[in-house]
Amino acid sequence: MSIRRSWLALGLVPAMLAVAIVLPFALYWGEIPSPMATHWGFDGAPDGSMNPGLILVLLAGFFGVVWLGAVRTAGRLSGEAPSFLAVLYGIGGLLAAVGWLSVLANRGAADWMRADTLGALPVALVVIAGVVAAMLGWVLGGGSAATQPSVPAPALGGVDPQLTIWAGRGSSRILTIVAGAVIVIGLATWSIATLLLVLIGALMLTFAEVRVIVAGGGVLVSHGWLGFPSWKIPLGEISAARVEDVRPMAYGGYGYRVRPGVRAIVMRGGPSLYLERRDKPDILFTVDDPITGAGLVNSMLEAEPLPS
Amino acid sequence: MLLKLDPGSGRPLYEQIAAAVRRAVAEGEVATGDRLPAARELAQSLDVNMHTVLRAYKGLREEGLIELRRGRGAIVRKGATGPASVHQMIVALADEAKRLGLSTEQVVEMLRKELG
Repeated sequence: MSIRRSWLALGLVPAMLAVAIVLPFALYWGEIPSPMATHWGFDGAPDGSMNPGLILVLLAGFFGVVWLGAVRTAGRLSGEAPSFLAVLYGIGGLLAAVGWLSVLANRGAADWMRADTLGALPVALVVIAGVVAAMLGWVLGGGSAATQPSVPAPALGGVDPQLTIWAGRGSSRILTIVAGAVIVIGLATWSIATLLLVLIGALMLTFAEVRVIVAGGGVLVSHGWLGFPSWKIPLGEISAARVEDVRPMAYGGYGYRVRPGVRAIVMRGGPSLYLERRDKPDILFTVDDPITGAGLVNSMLEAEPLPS
Repeated sequence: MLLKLDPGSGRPLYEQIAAAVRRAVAEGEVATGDRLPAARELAQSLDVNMHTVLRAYKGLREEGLIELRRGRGAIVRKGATGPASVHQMIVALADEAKRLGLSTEQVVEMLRKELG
C-alpha cells in the first residue's frame, strides 16, 4: 500500500468508523436503560440484555483489534489492499450500524424489555452499512486501478530445461483469515451449524493458496493445506507463457474465475503466470516470481519438438 | 524458487535433488525461512516416488540445512548458506576425485594439509 494513501486509508477513515461506533453511546447514554437490550429474537422482540458499557467495549474493542492488526500487516500486502480495506471497513460499518440500532431501539425505554422491536428493515440496514463501507474500502485500496501491460517472458538462459524445476506460490491472506474466522465462529456457536461452518471454513482454506511447479513434462497445480485438488497441465497443451498483471475485479473477484477464453486462479492482485493453451482456454495463476516460471515454460517449449 | 539438477551426475536422484537445493541455498536463490516445494508435489511434478524426495529432504535436515515441520513443510534454516556452499564444493571435489581415480585417503590427506 503506498505511503501516500495509508494515513488516510489506515488512519483517518478507520478513526472515523471508531467514532461512529462510540457516538450513539456518547450521545444517548442518559436515555438508555442499564442493562440495555442487546439481542432480539426472530419475532422482533428483545430477548437478551447486557450492560451498555460492556457492549460498547466489545464493539469498539473488537474493531480496535482488527484495526491494529490491519495497521501491523499493511506493509506486507502487495496487491491485496482493496480486499484488505474492504474487510476492515466492512467490519467497522457493521459494528457502527449495530451500535446505532441497538442504542436507538433502547432510547427512552424504562427497561431493556421495553426496547423497540427490530424487524427485517434494521437488519437490512446493518448489512447495507457493512457493504457500503466495504465498497469504500475497495475503492480506497485502488481496486479499480489500471492494469499493467503483459510482460513477455524470455526463455531462461543458461539452464537445461530438462534439469530445471521452478516452484511458485500464491496465497490470499484475506481468504485465510476469513476461513479461520468462519471455523472459529462455527466452533464458538456450538450448534448444528458448527459442522457446516467448519467444513465451509476448511474448504475456503483449501482454496486460499495455490502452488505451481514447472518441471519435467508440464505444470503441476496444487491447492491449499491438503495439496488437493491437484492436477497437471502437460507441456503439449501449452503454446506460450507470459506474465499478466491481474486486477481481481477484472476477473470478477477472487478464487477460480471463469472468463471467455481464460480461467484464472486469483489469490491476490498483481503479476501472474499466464499460460496460453492450444485447444483449451488459457489459464493463469497469481503466484510469486511468475517471470522465472514463464521463462522456464518457454525454455521447455523451445526444447520440445513441435507436435506433428 | 529455481532448482537446477546437475547434468551428467551419476548420483542417485535423491542426492541430485538434495544437491540442487544446496546449490540454490548457496547461490542465494533460496533464503532463510523460505519453504521448499511440498515433497509430494515435487515428486509428482518429476514423476518420481514421493519417498525419493523425502529421502533428499531428510538428508538435508540431517545436515542442518532445513527443518521439517508438520503442516509447515521444509523450511530453510538460519545460517544454512555457508555449510551449503561448502557441502556443494565437497560434492564437486568427490566427483572430480573419482574421475581422476584418486583414493579417499589421498583426498582426505590433501584436505587435512589445507585445513591445518
